[in-house]
Amino acid sequence: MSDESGCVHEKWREDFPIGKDADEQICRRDFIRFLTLVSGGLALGNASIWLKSLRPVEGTFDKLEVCKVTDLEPGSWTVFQYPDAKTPSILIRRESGEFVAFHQKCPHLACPVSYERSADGRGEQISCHCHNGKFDINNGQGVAGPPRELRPLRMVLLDIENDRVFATGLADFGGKS
Amino acid sequence: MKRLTASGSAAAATARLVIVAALCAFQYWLLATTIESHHAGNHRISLFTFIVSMICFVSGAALVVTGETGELATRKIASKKEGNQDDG
Ligand code: FES
Repeated sequence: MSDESGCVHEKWREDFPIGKDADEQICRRDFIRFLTLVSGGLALGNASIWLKSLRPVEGTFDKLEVCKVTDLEPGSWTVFQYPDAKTPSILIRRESGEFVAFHQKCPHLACPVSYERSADGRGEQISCHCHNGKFDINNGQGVAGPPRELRPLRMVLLDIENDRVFATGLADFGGKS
Repeated sequence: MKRLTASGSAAAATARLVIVAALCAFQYWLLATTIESHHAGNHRISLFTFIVSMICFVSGAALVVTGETGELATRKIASKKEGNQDDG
């Protein structure tokens, strides 16, 4: 289409009357603003971790009934919340029939860990699938992947009374109460 | 103060973008490290990393604000000049 002066007149220019230079400028400016927002968000993330670190984590722990002994077959596991409703923990019944429990948050980047046993049923471990972290099922110590360098999984202390499994507290790091 | 030309102000905007992006990348690394050490039971560095991250944010934001204010002023002067030329 051309107007009286003979200039080519493209219809789309009416709908989008921004020149190439101005277009690039707008995108760049918007992108910088967006990045500034992201930067603020990251700073807030750091702030929330700092605030979290101010909160005392230790205290007295209630006794909580987790399940009946017969609810878990040897070589199986379940998730429960302990010591508060926001903290997931795993209760494992080992092949030997022994019960062990740990916090479920991986000490690396907080992915949930799970119980794993090898096909022949002889090797048992706790795994984190995010970065292939592995933990010793006896004490929660990291044995492979990033958790090797970090604090072990926090062990939940258990008590078995009248065929019921109770969580009674948290062990110190290293698996000892 | 010396005003930038159009191409100069575009280059300045790109430089601002690169600096803010680099600050963001650093803050991202800082946050990941803080989370990791928090889960590892080391709470001592969280205040320090928060302060550093905040400094990054404030300096990035200051850079953006001053840059955009300067750009706006340059554009105002340029459009005034254009107006004067049209009148002349
Ligand atoms: S979050 Fe578990 S290994 Fe990375």
